[in-house]
Amino acid sequence: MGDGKITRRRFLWMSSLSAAGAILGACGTGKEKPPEVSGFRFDYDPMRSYPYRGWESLYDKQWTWDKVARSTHSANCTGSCSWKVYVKDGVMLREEQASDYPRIGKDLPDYNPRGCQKGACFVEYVYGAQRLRFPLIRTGKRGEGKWRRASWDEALELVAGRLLENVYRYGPDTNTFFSVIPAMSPVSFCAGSRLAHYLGGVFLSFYDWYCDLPPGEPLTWGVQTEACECADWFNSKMIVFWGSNVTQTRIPDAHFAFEARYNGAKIVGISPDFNSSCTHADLYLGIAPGTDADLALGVARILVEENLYDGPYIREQTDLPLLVVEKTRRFLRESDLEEDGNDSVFYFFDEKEGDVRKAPGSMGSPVRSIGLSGAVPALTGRYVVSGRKGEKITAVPVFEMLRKILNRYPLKEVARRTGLSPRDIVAFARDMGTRKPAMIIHGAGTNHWFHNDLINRAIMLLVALTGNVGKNGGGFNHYVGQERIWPEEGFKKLAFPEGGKKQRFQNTTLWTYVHSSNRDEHRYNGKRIEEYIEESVAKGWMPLYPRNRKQKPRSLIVWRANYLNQAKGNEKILPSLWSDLDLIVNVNYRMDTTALYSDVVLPASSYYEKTDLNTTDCHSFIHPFSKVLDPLFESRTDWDIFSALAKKIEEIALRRKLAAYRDEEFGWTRDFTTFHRQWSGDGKIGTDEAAADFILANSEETKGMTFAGLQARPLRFVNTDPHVWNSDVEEGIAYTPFKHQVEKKKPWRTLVGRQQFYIDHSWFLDLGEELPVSKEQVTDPYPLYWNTPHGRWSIHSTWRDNRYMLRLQRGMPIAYLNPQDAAARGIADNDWIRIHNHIGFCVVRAKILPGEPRGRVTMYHGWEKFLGFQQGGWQSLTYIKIKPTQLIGKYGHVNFRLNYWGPTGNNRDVKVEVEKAKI
Amino acid sequence: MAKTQYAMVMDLNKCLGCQTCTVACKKLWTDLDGMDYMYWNNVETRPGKGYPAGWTTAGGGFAGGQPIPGEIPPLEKYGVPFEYDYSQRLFEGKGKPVMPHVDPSFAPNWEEDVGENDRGENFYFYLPRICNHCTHPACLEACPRKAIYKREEDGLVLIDQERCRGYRQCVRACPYKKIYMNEVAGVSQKCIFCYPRLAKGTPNACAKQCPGRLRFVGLLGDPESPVHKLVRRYKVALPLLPGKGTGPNVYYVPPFNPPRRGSAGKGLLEDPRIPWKTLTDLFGTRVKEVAERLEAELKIAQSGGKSEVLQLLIGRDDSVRYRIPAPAGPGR
Amino acid sequence: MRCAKSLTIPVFLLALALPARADFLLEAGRNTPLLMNRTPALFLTDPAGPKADPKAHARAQVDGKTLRVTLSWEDPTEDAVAGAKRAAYGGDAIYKKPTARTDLFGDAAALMLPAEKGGRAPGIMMGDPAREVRILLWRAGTGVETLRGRGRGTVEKARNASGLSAVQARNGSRRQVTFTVEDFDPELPVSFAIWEGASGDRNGYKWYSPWYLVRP
Repeated sequence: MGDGKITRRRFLWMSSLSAAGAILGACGTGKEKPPEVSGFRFDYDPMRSYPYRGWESLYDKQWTWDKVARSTHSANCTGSCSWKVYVKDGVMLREEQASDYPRIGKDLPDYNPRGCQKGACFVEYVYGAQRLRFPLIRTGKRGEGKWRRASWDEALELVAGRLLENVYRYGPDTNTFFSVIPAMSPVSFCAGSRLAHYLGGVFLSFYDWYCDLPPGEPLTWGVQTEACECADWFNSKMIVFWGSNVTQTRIPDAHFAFEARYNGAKIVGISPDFNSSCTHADLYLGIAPGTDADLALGVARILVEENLYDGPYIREQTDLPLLVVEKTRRFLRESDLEEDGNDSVFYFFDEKEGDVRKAPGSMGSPVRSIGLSGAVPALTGRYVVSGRKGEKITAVPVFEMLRKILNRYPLKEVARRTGLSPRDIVAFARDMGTRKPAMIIHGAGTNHWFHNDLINRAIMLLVALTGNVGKNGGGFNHYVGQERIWPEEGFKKLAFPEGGKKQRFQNTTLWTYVHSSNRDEHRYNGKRIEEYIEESVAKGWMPLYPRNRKQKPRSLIVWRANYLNQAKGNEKILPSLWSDLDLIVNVNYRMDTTALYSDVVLPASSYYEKTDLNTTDCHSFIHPFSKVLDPLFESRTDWDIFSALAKKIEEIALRRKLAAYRDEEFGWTRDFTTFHRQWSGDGKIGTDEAAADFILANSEETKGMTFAGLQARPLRFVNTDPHVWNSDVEEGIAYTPFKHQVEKKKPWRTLVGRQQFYIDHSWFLDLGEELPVSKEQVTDPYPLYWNTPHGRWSIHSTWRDNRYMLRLQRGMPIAYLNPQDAAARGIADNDWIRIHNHIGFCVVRAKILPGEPRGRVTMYHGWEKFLGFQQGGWQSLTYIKIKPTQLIGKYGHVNFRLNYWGPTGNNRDVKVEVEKAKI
Repeated sequence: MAKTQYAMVMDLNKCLGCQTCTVACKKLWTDLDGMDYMYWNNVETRPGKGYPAGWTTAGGGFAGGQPIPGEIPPLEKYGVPFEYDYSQRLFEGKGKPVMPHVDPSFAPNWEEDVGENDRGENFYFYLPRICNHCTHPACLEACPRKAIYKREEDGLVLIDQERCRGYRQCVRACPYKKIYMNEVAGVSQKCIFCYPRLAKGTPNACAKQCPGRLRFVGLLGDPESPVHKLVRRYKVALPLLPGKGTGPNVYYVPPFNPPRRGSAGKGLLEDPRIPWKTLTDLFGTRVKEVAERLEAELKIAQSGGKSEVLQLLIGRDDSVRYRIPAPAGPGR
Repeated sequence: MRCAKSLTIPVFLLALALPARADFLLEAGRNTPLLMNRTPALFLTDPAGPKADPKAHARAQVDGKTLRVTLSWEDPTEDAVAGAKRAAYGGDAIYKKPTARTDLFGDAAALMLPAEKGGRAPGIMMGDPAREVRILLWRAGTGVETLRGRGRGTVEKARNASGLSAVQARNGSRRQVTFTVEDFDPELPVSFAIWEGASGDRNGYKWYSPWYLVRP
């Protein structure tokens, strides 16, 4: 072989030359033969075979285990992924996706494997330095990190004693409880909610506070949030990622979108930054931050102009044909036309019969169906009717009002405001109008703006106009926050056994605003938000506790959440609300920021050491948490912790011979000497497994299931409770909501019985928001938007301090800057920077990102305050702003209900400046 | 030469950059002493330095049949794995922010999502990498003890952990820098293609645990395997840096990015966001023809038709994505 | 035929063809300077050239059946591999020992002697198929290993490591390793090898001596 390649033969030859020493040095007596030149025993060619393969058992042995058990994670990620955890020599080694979700339908890709990189390293938390191992009581200042170890008895005695004292001295509504997202671990949730319930404490909301609730859904559809399960994405032919970065935030489900693409869907990515989801899109719209309503209304205008809307659908399923009185801009109601007329009966003009008719299916209508029976409600025209007193009333369909609004969004103007090219906008609009079914996957990118309700409604308008809501592969699908507890009825009975009407519920945004020194100086229609708040509370639209306005909350118990680290207006909360609280208790498995700043920390078992359930919007299965190992160290399951606390309350009440407390708000006489018996449902729900079985047994969705039966594999829900949900679970078909309305003509759960785009509440009319419009951001005089999206490296604050994750990033909090914005400020990659505004500041490092738009700085959210920040935290720049429209109540279907309706904790409108920092 | 050859195909249009494959491999194989900095599977953003930094220009492989000198990357180019003293802040009241024990200046995913800017438009994609279990491995050639071999029954390239003495000729010779020195154990280590899992009929951890479902595993010579179909029949999967001369057996379906601003509807020929040079540098000259064919298939699917190759790439379940036979050959 | 760039066989190596002469003797108690050779580059891709002569000396001592020989040489840089360093934080099972350097080779020294008496001396390159050698290898950072070899590429850990030990010390810029062989027969020749970590020495990239006889 003369080509110079190293061959075995040449190798030997050359080695033999160097082994000349072997020849030369080997001569001894001279009598024996010299040794073989090739002192190599390479009588094999490693390209073809190898004689020493016994060592391969090394890696075989590495992949062995003594025990494997099924569990999952309770982080509020919407994944709800079933995992197998492997134990060797009594130590949890690693986890791997169970990957055994049953197939829904032959053509649909399956859900496997389900789980992400974060779930794949949760074991680190089980044994890591941040794991809480025994009860701790603070010795230094809050947040200092100085503790003394306490016994369970001492810690529980302290907490129970104070809780009871607060009830008798200051009122039960001074004890406050914060735990989030029942769906991710309802048994753990209910352990504490039952305690709050029987104690008369205030239970705080989370879905609205986190700004994950899309207010457009309760307003337009009368629901909390209803989305299709992610397998349904595969049925779509047009998928729009709007403010939603699924490759980062829907990791277990993102594949359905890209597989749908191969199956014929077009993907559109709408985001100010060229994010990872947009890299796989067919069209990328790099929209200017906060201008999403402009784009949506511009697209709606094209749909209407080019006749791309679904006429029959909107006539039947939406309020677009309902008549609105021109003068008052309020719906035409029966009470306008008839003596003793109903306030909740509405009208349309029937083109077929040529007259004005009552619309069936509204809240006041005796007809419990929205079926039109052949009527053809008009979308255009002006109609004159005779009022109650014989006066002439001119009314037009909502659709006419909408067209007037849409006229304000011509293509050129929309292109200017959004920074998009007209060609791209038109292409997008035409695809929205013609590709069916079409869906919009909506996320926090749009939902965290102050005017999120307008943005939601404008975007929802597009899928309503095109008839895509209530159809497989279509709809407005919002997955931010794992708020869907499928077996809801069973859960509610377990969580608040005496009923929701006997429980104090509180919107957290309002509670935090009022009780901290957060102040929003903006004016809304010339009025300060405090005025709106007072009116809302006085009218009973929004609750506010403690009821005695001179009283401040005295205690806060947090479990399954990181309230402090995540709270908007952090800098204002710490010196006011947080320092005013007399007792702060945290139940947790790791020392997160809230725990660090608490008075008493009770060690909870990790996700792999307890019994619980897990459900999500993203799929239609239920599966369990199991005790891979019993609770480690001195930790206990949430259920056992609250059980012990309940016992302690009972013990103290008996010891102090406490008289029963008369809770006037509910007419409830609270006897704490039998507290544990009440808490445990008269002893019937003593264990966490009993609690899990209770939920399963008391819900339509899980009829026939037991906790034990969930161990083999995730099980699909058998059906849905029609009181709660709006579609059936159908075999072989992915779940999508609102089929009851679209197929069975059941009324929508709104005032008008239809998808309601027109909200004629007086506040909406005053603010000009009766129909979706676009509005300027409510912001501050700084140059850069402060953007804090959800990303792939954490679920909120969970996994932020996990080494495996930190090693695959830059090890500490960073903020992303556009190259030109950075250059203008003399900032280079990895420089220390100071991000500040009038509220506060934080010091972190910079990462220069070409895909970041100008005029914005991004920090993916949830970084723990104690990790990496030289000063401040990621919420040091924000403050609480409440939108007046989200304070309304007693408007048909729009009423305060925990996590269903209430002011959202928006944060996107915040602006900051950035400069190089000296470290 | 192996009688049959395991291969993997990765569809870069499904990669989420989530690094689940990285963590899956890390937790299963490289979570022991001396292995902290190693990622047998890594995912890097391209364009970018990659991991280890600058590996594409660190030598190794062959040119014109001749072995090319290569580097042993220093630890800084892999990234010093961050360690944290949580206790001082959380439990001991010492108050210092919890910081990496070294000043961060590089890490395996340092340039995540950065990419490049071309004519005012950002572009990037993710590139997951494992050992390519090459047909003509430079590492095997370089080992003076002949401690690296190619399994005859499936072509996997393994380093004998008992006979390796840590000389690192293999680390220098690998053009992909996919062999890692374990200083504590004193041996070189690398991706083993999860052969213990394959022996039990379970796919590689990086493949089975990938939520993007972008990996296909099988024997190249098996006409029923998805890798054979994608590489040999449909010819839509390309090797990485084919010019290095080692004959890698991990193949990639090349990535698309959407059209540039104002170019809705324009195809890859007209005005691509990713410059062709970026792709040809990585996948060779065939990438242009492959990308255009894939674009045509996508048009068929998005116009209501069905594309055979795209239906395969959907990979509806395990049985489509993995075809792992019962182990043949002499075994051990 | 193309081969390694610098492949010159030093003329003095020819001297090794002769039987062991008085020049290759270690007089007991005397600090004898050693003749150290350098392996030439093998592969096209190998770094070139020998480095500065380490000025190696050996002092041997025989007490009954025990041989103690101290090898010393110029070692300007102390190069060690991490070996047994502890992880930075935490004592829990999840904390593992890190790799501190990937591209570092450590200083090392070895004593080689035939496994059995009789016959000719084994091939100087780790023995040969007919004549096995025992190698006592000291490595900075990881300590002592005993190996067996039957020629290049065949070295493996010895199952029976008793009767062999080594300990190292520093004396200014010189490193010293003292090898102890407990069942030593003075008929067995010994040979030495030195690896300079800073130069990337490992495997065959090393300094090695011819066979020496120990004169008690």
